Amino acid sequence: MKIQQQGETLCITGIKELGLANCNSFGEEVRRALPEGIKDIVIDLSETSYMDCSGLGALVALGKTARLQNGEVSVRLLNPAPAVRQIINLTKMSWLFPGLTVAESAATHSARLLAGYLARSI
Amino acid sequence: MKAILICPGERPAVAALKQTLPWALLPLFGKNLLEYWLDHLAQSGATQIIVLTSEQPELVQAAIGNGARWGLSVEVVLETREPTPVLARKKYRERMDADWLTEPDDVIVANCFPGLPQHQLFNGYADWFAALQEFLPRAAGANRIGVRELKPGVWVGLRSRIAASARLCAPCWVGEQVRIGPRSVVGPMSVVEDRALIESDCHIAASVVGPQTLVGKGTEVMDSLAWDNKLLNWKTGSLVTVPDAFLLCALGRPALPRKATNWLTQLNAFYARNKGDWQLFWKDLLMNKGG
Repeated sequence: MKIQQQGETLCITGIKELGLANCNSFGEEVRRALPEGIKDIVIDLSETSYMDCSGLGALVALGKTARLQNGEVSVRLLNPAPAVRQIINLTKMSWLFPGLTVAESAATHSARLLAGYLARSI
Repeated sequence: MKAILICPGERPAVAALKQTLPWALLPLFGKNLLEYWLDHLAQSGATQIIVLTSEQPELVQAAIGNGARWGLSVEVVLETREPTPVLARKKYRERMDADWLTEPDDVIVANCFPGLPQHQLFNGYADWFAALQEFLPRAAGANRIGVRELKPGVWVGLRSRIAASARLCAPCWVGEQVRIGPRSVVGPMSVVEDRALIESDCHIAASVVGPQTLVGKGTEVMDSLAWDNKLLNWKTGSLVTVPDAFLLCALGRPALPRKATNWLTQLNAFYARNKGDWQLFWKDLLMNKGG
């Protein structure tokens, strides 16, 4: 798993599985890396082949922690595989993750943010 | 009048739907395809049916018996692979050259519901779902006992319990012994098969819930076939095995048709199942007697 900060956005990529076995370590790792002033957490689920309710709970808890720490923070899930999307829909959790659609990957998202930042700076 | 009924063999386009049962015995609105076709053939004037199957003939035989239920004489024949209607006609019509139903009704492949040849079940998941929807109003036919139409387009089977605050939206089918919990919404375009359990606050739309399947509290099943712990989106073909049993799971093993056996065979089977216990019992008895 890779965690990168791009301005006010935290990008999390390379999650292979998110279930009972690793949801605690995922939460810990992200919380440790959660800097002040983050407004947006983007989680790329394109490589995630398995997710259960513990994994989903970890994502919800992450959003809650981030909001407690930094105020208004949005958690966005990018490119969830169909199977993961089915689990999210089954649990009626999609409303918690705005913009849950097949979207650009976190890398592309970061690149776009960086380009925007550079454009504003220049 | 005679006819041949061919059970579907391999159907790769809908492989994820395949259970342990042959396709022809898969429950659809509480009955299997063979039963629907035997009903239809009996009404068409057939009296003798040859059922050709390429898998588990004993289960097929156990499910339909000798056909007396329909006033038919049914013979189940095992084929190495599913024959085409042309081959079946060539092989069996020559053997039994008496009176037959007229072509093409003399040889039927159970690929669709009776009377709906334009809606093939096994071409893909979307076709499967479309065929079910098309057949839904006909499933509660005249010879169906116990199914009530609660309101236009909403059918409910015997001994089903629906909470007062649950909502059924037409068209929908609720099978026998189904439980639907408070504030759940079932329909439109939904089928809940026999003995399914829908807990409270669920939402099921454009979906099929398989027999003896638990849909957990607060779960939303949309555009899907929920069967045991499998969730298949019929629009995208995406299949997921739901890891959390409180969301979706099988309530028990599907009821396989029992093979009729005599008491001696049953006693023998009972002994074979409990062989270890019996041996211990005799050993203990003999040792105590000796001591």
